[in-house]
Amino acid sequence: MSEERAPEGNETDPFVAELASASRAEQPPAGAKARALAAVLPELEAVPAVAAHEAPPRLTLRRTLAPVLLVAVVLLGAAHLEHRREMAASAAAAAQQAAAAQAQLDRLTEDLRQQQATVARLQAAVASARDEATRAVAEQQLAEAKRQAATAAAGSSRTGARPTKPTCNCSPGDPLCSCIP
Amino acid sequence: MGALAIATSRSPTTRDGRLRAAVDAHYDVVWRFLRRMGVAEAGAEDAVQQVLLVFARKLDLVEPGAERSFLLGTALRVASDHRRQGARVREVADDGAVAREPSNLLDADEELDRRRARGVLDELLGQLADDLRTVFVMCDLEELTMSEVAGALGVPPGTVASRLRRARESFARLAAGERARRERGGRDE
Repeated sequence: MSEERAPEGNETDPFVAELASASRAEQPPAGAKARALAAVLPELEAVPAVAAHEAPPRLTLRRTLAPVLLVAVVLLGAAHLEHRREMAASAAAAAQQAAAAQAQLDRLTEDLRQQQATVARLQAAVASARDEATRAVAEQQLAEAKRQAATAAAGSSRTGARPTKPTCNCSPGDPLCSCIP
Repeated sequence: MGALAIATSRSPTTRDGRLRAAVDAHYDVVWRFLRRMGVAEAGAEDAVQQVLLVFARKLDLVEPGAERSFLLGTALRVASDHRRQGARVREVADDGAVAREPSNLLDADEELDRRRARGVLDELLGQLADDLRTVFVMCDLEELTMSEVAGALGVPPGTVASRLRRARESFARLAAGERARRERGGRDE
């Protein structure tokens, strides 16, 4: 706590200085101190000395506040650690999901590539068929391969595709329509 | 050190001596503080005794060196009680003149001037807010340190400084108004 005197005031104003000086010159009546002591000393003897455990209020307040602050700091620290642990777990789960999705995408892409290679091979077989029976068999195999390639392509696009927006069936200018065109 | 102070202050002789020393050193300050806080001269002596009785009862709880802060903090509450009880009396310029007759004519003139100045001072102080008046009287009239005032009022020193600044501004305005009023009065005569 600062032991400094108050900074210089407005006593440079002669009027204020005169008032302050008049105040300081005022003295209590003669004999007032002696009368006060005579009145107060018996009270001092009547009051027993205060026990040492009756500490000043400021000290009591300090002693009360210290453990409260300590508990608050510990609780805040624990809450912070728990929050960090939850964030780390959530990040790990997200990374695991992303890796699984990538693996599935790779597998489907490979399937699609193989189907497309089969379709190309069968198209070549259809083009180079020497008789109608061979061509018919090749065309049947080609149709089956195209169907499988389409299925694989649909699976591959479903994995990484965004959900499609529902079509808006409202008539133009319908005030009850909730679709955003 | 604190424990030692409590232990030694509990011996009857030391307590007695401490009370006497406090009365001797601080009686005048407490008396003037009560006067500036609106306690009439006739009631000031009783008010100081109330303060000292509280001090005597709590003597062992007052840290050595903090007596003046404690006495003025108690005096503030006693003065407030006096005001609540309607004991505050606006004094006229010759209040208490009979109690202390000056020894000669020159002293009488000076004393009369001072008494008038104190009347003006009390009137101006009465127009300040209580918290500003308290800090102004403690710091600028009784010249207590900032830490003593902070201890007496139970507020941080920064609060004391801020109240003192506002109190000085308000008092300077009131004093300027009073001076202007006097000058106008002088010209009218």
